[in-house]
Amino acid sequence: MRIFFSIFWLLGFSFLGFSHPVSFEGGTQAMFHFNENSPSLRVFHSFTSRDAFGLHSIRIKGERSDEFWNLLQYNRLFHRWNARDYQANIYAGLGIGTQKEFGKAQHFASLAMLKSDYETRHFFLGNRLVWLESEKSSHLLSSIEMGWSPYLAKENEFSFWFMLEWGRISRTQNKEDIIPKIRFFNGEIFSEFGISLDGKPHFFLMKHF
Amino acid sequence: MKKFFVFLFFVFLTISPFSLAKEAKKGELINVSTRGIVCSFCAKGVKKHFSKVDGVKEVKVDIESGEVKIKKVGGVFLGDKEVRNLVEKAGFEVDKISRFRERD
Repeated sequence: MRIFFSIFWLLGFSFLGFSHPVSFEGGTQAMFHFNENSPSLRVFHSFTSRDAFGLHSIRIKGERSDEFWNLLQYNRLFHRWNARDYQANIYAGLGIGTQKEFGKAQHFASLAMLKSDYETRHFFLGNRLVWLESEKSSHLLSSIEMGWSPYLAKENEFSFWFMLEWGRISRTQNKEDIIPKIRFFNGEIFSEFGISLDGKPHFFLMKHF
Repeated sequence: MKKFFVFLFFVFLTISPFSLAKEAKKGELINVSTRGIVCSFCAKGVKKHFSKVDGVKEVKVDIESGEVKIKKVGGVFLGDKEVRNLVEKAGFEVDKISRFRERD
């Protein structure tokens, strides 16, 4: 299983949905991700079509720990392949900030992110790797997503996708989830709803400004 | 006869401003063939950039073909270089730009 995912990664197909870390020039996106193990809030402003800067807050809940990470993050679109019927992207991100465990001292923290995706009008494949590091803690969050849309929505119509996500938090703790979910988007609102195979709810909301 | 030509001259003077104004309101249609637009979120970025241009009355994005249709009446000059620049700011690429005068 580990070899399969390693090959998948090496092929460069990575990542988490349409939640691109860089948007169009002048665009701002706010993202709220609710799940049991790693709820997060991210706000990024794209000052060019390749660079974005913003805030990333994430809570990592383990069996014996409850950590809050608050970081300033810079994202860069390394390369985009634009074709008539598909788009593929490779992104990277770096962040610095603080990590604090409930009731304990605050520590300097850093973040490194790598993300890639491939999407057509009916098919999506992506993955994401986020490495959080501090003096007291370290986490590697990885995910792979794939999706299929049964119809092509026009500009102002409602888009609907069936999605499947595999997610893992490793290093300090080891947690793995498989989440079937549905994705909707219309206008500037994008949302996902899902329940993991062990019954945990998943909700993602993004708004573009 | 002279009276008739004077009459025709005044008729022309009276009508021409209206027809010129009507012609000016017709405007220009710019069709931009793009690469990379695969969803309505992509379309939003393109629309936002073109909608800010003075004189742009309407922007439509056909996601299936990747074609962006811009209707422009007056306002600033929107040349091919500016069109490419706006599409690239949204993160996409231009294949071809076609221009038409709007018909009645």
